[in-house]
Amino acid sequence: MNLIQVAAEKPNIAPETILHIGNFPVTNSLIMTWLIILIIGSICFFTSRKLKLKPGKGQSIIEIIYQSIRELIDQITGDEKYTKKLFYLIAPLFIFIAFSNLLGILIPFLSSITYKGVSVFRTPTTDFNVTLSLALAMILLIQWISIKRRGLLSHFLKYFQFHEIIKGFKKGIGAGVMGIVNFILGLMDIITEFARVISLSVRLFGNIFAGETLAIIILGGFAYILPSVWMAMNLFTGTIQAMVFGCLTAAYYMLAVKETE
Amino acid sequence: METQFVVEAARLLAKGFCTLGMGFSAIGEGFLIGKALEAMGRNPEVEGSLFSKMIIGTAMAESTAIYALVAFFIL
Repeated sequence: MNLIQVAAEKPNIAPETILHIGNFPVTNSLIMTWLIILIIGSICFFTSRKLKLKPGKGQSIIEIIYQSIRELIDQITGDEKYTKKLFYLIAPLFIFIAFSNLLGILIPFLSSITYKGVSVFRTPTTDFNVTLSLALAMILLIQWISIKRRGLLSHFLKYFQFHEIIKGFKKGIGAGVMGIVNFILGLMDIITEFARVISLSVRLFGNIFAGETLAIIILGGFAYILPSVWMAMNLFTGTIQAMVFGCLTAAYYMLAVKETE
Repeated sequence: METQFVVEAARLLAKGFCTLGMGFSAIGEGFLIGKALEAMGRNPEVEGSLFSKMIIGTAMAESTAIYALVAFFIL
């Protein structure tokens, strides 16, 4: 590579193990997750020590963030009591994913800290384990809420709608065929659940991982103005993807809960 | 061995096909944003709420293109 091109190595999809605590391998995305927890924790701690009724600068920023997340969830739920329940799930999710997407771009030289040639800090959302576990946890939580509200048998019968067939055939042959179509649609709902897990996790992983890899490819192409334009767009994309993850979780929750009303 | 070259050529061809699918996502997104702009033009006071929904809709429509990009990097 010559003067206008900068060589860097492409990240591979699996994160690299840095050290072992006992038998447990510690990867570089885990170390950066600890750093994010430290930063968010210290912001919360130092802001909440002196809360004033007329807020100063730091407290106003946090109040703005709180207010805007609350309005976002209000738009999806449309109901006040669900907003109260959902807020304590969606807001930390949104803040964690937003921080983890943005911290790699906002702090300069963070990926240059290396240990035996492998960089110590790697954005956690470029690790498919992190996104898959977040998506799986959210979908399992929604299934659990649905089971708790209707009981195990009724939740199961949502997917295998035998009573629709019986009810349809009692009315006549035309309605009976509609009953069979409803039964098949109920079976497709099972596939929808798996598709939700895959789409939530791959959307977040793909956006952030492809953003990083393309930044390295652009650095290899022309290293002067283009990478900063692309990284600015990555800031935007990172926030949007965090918001989409949170809003989709809220929307699935409302879909699962609204039918029991 | 010759089969090594054939396998490598097939891999690169598959990579090329992955990038073709992203074109349709671009058409879909253009449609979505066009409709949103048209609605904003008819009724300028819903502009604020429509804009954020448009952004969320764009992120959803983009997700299939992102799946194709991830498949491209995996191959």
